[in-house]
Amino acid sequence: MMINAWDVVFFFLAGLILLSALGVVFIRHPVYSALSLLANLCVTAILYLSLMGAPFIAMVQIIVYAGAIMVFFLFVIMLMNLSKGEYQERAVPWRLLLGLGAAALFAFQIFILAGEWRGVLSPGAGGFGVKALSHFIFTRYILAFELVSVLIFVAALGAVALAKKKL
Amino acid sequence: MIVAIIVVAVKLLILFAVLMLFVAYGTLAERKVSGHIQDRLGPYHCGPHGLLQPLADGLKLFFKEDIVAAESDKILYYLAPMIAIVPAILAIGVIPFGESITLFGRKIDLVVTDINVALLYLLAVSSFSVYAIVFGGWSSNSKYPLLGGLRSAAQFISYELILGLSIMGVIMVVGSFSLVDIVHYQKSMWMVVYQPLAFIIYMIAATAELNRLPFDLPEAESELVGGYHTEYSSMKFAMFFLGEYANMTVTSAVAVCLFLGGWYSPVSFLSWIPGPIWFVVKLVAVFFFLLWLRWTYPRFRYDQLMVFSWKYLLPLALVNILATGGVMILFGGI
Repeated sequence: MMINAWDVVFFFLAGLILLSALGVVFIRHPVYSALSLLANLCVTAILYLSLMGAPFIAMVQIIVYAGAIMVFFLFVIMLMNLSKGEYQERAVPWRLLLGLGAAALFAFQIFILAGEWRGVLSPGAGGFGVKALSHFIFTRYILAFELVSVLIFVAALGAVALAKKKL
Repeated sequence: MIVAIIVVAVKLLILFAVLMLFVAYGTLAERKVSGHIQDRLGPYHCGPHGLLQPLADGLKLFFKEDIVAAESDKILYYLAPMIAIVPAILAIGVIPFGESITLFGRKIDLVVTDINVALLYLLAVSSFSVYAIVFGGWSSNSKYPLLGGLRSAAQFISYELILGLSIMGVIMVVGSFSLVDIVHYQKSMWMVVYQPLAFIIYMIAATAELNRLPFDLPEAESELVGGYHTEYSSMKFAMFFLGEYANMTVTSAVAVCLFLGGWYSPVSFLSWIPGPIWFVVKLVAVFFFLLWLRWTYPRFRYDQLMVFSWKYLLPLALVNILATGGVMILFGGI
């Protein structure tokens, strides 16, 4: 039986995404929970990049979520500055987990590279680049796109209304 | 295939070595330039004119005692200095430093990889450098580093937005995210002529992203002792500095690629000088500008920093994008 190599890539990445998502829920320490969410966002970006061949979406995912939104999360968590008594910690072999994670990532990279060199993997699924994306956004999905911008505007107005008691 | 891999590996090694050279002599340049601006000599006794000073500094930092704060969060405390250096090293992969050359019958591009989202990749990678400061500040479990980390988080988000918007004008003119395409576009005329406002905004935002004076609120020594790296010593402390100077080098390199014509010579009768040399000359000029800035302006107050970003730079960057778009529609491209 022939195993499709991209399936292996997908299941590996999906496993990492699930693991980090579980980490967000089950790690009690708020900073490490946020860190797990960060890992989740980054692996999702890798998934976009490697399987969908959508580099634009992958990069924007990192810039917006990892670069801005997660920094805000951490900002708030650090301001609260919870002391050790306020949440319960579980004994987790962090060093082992980190080492295993790094080893798995490295093996995965070698797998993709080796596959591409030997011609097992087709190099990246056909491009869904910036041009294709903007073409779709500004022609077929123009209404949805504009509606989303209205939604974001309403959210921003709501935030201002909540923050300022006297307008 | 093997040859291609070797070529990439060699290019990476050379770039890494050059980056580390810039980092080492960046620290010396900082001290020399600051010295001369303040009418001093700067480091002078280690080698001729203090040229071996970076070596001595490195040795000293290696052999210092590594003190770990007792109540610190160990994992993040160790992770933060590592994160500090990674973004700059990742970023050098997409920076083109010369036209392709032919060596032993092989055409070799003087860039590690020319991806079509290079600029977005740079923004994405550089957005990770804030984590070094935030984690370093928080994990030290000490109030001054925490304040430095928090200031940094807010400052970084504000100025990253402006950095991205200032680059938009260049992308609109060239019509590509690839740095190689952007440099090719500037063969006859530098981008700074078409986009002067974008260049000024980029340099301001870049200085803020690098946490350098007049925007060095996260490490304001008169208020925060040392800011986010107060509790760090020995090589961990050195890693933060490696990261800072590596980021300075990369930011200068990106400025050269985006606005100052990359590896092209500014005048045609000097075009016999090879591209990489022009690239390094321009890079050093921008680097010097950053050092010069540090010893020229006093530090902003924190509220001034935020007001300056959101009330002045952001509208200016948006106006620049609008104006670029308007000119492109009216005159059918620049």
